[in-house]
Amino acid sequence: MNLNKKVATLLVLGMVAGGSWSCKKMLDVPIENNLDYSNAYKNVSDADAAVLGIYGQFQELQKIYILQNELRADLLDVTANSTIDLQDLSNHNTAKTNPYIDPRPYYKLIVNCNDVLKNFDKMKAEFKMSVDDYNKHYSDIGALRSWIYLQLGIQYGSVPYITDALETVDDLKGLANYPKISFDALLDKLIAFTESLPYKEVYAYTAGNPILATVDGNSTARFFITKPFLLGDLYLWKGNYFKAAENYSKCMKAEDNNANDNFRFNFYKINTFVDAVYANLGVQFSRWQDPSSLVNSPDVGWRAIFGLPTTLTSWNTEWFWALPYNPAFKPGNPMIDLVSPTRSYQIRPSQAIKDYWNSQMHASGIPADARGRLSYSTTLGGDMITKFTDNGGKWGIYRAALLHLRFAEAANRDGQSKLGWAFLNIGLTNTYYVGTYTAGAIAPVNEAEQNTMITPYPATSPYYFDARKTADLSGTWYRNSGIRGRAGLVAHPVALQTDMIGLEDKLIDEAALELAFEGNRWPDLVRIARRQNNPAFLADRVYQKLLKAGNPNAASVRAKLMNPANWYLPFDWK
Amino acid sequence: MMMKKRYLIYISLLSLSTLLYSCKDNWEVHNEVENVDNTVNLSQKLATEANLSVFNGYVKSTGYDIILANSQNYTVWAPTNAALAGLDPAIVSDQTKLKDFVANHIALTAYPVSNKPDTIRVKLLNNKYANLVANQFEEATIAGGGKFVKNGVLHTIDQALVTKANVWDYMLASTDAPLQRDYIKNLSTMVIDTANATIIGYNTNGNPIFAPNPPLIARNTYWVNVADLRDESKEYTYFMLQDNAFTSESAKLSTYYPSTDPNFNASFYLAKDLTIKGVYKQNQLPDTLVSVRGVKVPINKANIVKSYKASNGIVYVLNALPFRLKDKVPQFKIEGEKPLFFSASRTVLYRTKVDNLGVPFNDIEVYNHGVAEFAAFYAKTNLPVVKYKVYARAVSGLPGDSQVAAFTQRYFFYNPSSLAYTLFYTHAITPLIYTETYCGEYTPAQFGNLQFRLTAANSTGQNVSTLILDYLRFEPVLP
Repeated sequence: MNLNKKVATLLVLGMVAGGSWSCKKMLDVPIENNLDYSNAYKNVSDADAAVLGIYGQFQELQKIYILQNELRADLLDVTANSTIDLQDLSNHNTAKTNPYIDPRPYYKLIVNCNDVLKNFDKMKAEFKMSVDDYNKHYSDIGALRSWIYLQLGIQYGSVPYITDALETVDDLKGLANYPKISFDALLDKLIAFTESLPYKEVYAYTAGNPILATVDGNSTARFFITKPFLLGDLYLWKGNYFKAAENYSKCMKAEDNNANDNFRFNFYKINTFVDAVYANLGVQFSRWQDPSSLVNSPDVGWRAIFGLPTTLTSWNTEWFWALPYNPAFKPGNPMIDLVSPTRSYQIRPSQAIKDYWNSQMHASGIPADARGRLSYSTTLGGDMITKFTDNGGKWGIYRAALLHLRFAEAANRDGQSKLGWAFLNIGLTNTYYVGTYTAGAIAPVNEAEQNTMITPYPATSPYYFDARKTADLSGTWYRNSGIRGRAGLVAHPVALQTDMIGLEDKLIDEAALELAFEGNRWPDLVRIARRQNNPAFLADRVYQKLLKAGNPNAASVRAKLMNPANWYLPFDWK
Repeated sequence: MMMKKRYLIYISLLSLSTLLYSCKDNWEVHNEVENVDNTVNLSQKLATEANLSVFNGYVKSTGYDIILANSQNYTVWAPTNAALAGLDPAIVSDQTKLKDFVANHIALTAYPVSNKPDTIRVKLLNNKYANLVANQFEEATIAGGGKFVKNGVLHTIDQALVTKANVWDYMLASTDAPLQRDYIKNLSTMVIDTANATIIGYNTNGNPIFAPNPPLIARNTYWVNVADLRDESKEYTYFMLQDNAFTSESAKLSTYYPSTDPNFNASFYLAKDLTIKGVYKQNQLPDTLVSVRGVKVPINKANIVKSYKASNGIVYVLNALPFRLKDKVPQFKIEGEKPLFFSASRTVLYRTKVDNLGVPFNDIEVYNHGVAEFAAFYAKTNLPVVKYKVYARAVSGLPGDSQVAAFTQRYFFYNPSSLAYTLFYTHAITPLIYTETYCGEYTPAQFGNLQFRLTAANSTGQNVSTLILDYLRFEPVLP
């Protein structure tokens, strides 16, 4: 297929360009194998290739994304092998020369996005691409650029917002001198731009588009950014909670009208349903009360969220956006080297997150949250994080558990704490049902009792979910079991249904248990500490990590992080 | 083509960086060997050293000069002529002993003098091991940094090192503790002489099948059951009790270990705890050590009559070693989660629960099995004869446990004279009782195996026939 060839060429191009960042001097070496620029954008296949090429380059941001977002926070720690640069990153004490604080990898991709967007405009003007194709391709790359800028804002605070196409990479030399805008102003610009995109559906491309294909055993269906998810994030950071909930809700309900019940009941629902094909992602013990019977396999149960191939339906019930690695092709998974005790072994789970997992209890009385054992393995060489590497590994960015927690956070702040509590704990049906029980099971005796299982909002509301379950009918959301329910943990107290700040803390704590190491922790801490105007929310957690690791810098780092100005990396490098 | 070009760039970059890094680093300087004389071998070098001429003579007469001239690397720790002046003439006159003596000063591979105080165990050519710590080679001191030649290094030492006996050989030759020596020497069992037996095939595990009536050979059981004191590569501290001490300590144990089999009698339960892993010199001896079999050994230095530095450890002769009875007749537990077998095949829950103090523990639960008098069987071997107080712990009703109703289970012990299990205690279990329940006293009828049966109620009912057991604790009643 012609497409594949083009994709490969562009991926190679992306890699050459990406690789050149690893060494400063490489920039001065002229790139000889460039395509003739003027011939690159002739038809929609070229547009597809450009999009996939951008995502190929984007995938190389995983390493810096994970390290910045996790090592600076409290769930990921350095090892005895870690380089000084990584130790400094963990200690919030980075030098100008530290490669992990250099924003240029982000900007390099932004420049490439700007270039692709400019060319899409040109193709549309010259009728080389249909309006429908233009809308989808342009919106995809535009949204991806907004996502990168959100990252930059979270990490660096004030940054230059560049949307013009720069002809060459060399223009980045003046990056440090560009005028910068504040994080808050950046959020306004990102919301305005992303909302202005012509195509903002959950899936970037509709079924039948040739860009959706199975290539080398991987489906491309989840390669592309989920725009309402991004919009939800932008609104959540901005503090517009209803708009955030509205966009998240759109993602949650993306398959609610699917005629196939297996899709309708399982996609993005967070459930414990066991079905070999459509849903099998809950924490499972094959024998009650017996910790040795934990289903610990990258192909079955909760760990399969990370291990299943992207072509399986079950995997797709959880994921919105994830980029898989293939051991046979470049780029290789950069995390394998970082997490493996038998290789360079730069990162490991912190004592703080291990203690937190161990402080939980399974509903059968088994001590500890099994998601710990399913997120890392204990080996003779040390603890090895398995989330990134199971079955070859993927860079997973957006998934249903993250979506539910973010939705719950937005709903909670929008005054809907009970709904947030339901998604966090035991699911909708069990939270909302008021009525008759027979032998401990829900058994409504009339329609009024039955309808208590629908959340009390108008059908058009983002908070409306039909979770009815009786012998006669099944509401679309009846299988929802809550994040803790899927992990088999006992629920938090019902009192949190009326305690906004209390529930917010629990939601962020749950994100640590569920999403550890996936790159959400630092943004979570910054967002909540900003919102609650409580620097200790962030500083205390980082302090606990360093304290439990016996790090002598714990107290000084805490003092430093009590000043919000120090949360942001310097926009300065050497 | 393009890839090739890029690879070339990478390879040249890589080689450039290797070049840059191949300069001297501190570590190299630190370990650097200077003044290597690559024109001669060890044999030739030894011949030129005037103050080593006596040792050189021994080397030549035993034929080691040929070995020291070959191309492998050796280290020679050569005693000076002055050091050899006092050497036992019996060694010099006996060619076998002399050969062993020379070999006791030579090792394969070159060992420089380290400036770090780490102990290096050096295997010598006579298969003994010597400890090398900085410039100390066993008891001798190495002069200078050694002379490096093309096949190794020659060190000069200030003492002759006579080959030491190992702990086992020393004990057998010693007359300090005849009772203990003869007891251990006679601890033997007959095993198949695999070197001389005829193999007629292999079983499915790959183990050989021998022809009927294979030749047998005596094997000392102390080597297997306690420690192989002949092993030159290990190091042990070994205690030899003078006869009166051996007799009195054995007598203290005789009522508890009445077996007539020497592998299980009171002498064995004394002798098994006379070996300790590692070497403890007299000035390093703590007041209590732990034997290789895990029993505390009380040490009083005043009781040491003499000591011997063996090739694989150190031997102390003691006139008394008063063990504490509670260490020799210990309390023990039968853990619920470690059953031998069951009366029927049912789903068994091997649980980890957390008690009221937040302490996790492992136990067993068999719930809703539907078998009247369902039973789990347990065993404890080599049980000494003593009266025990027995306590049981069984916690029901914890989070996740379906058994929230009170129920009863029974404990049976096997009676070897009536050849049947007899009821010991009926345990009425109410939920969330975290303490131990006292069940009564139990005295085994004879030394040997304790067989225990955990039995459910005579009912098939759910919540009635449940079994739950954390452990049974046996506390000996000692004088």
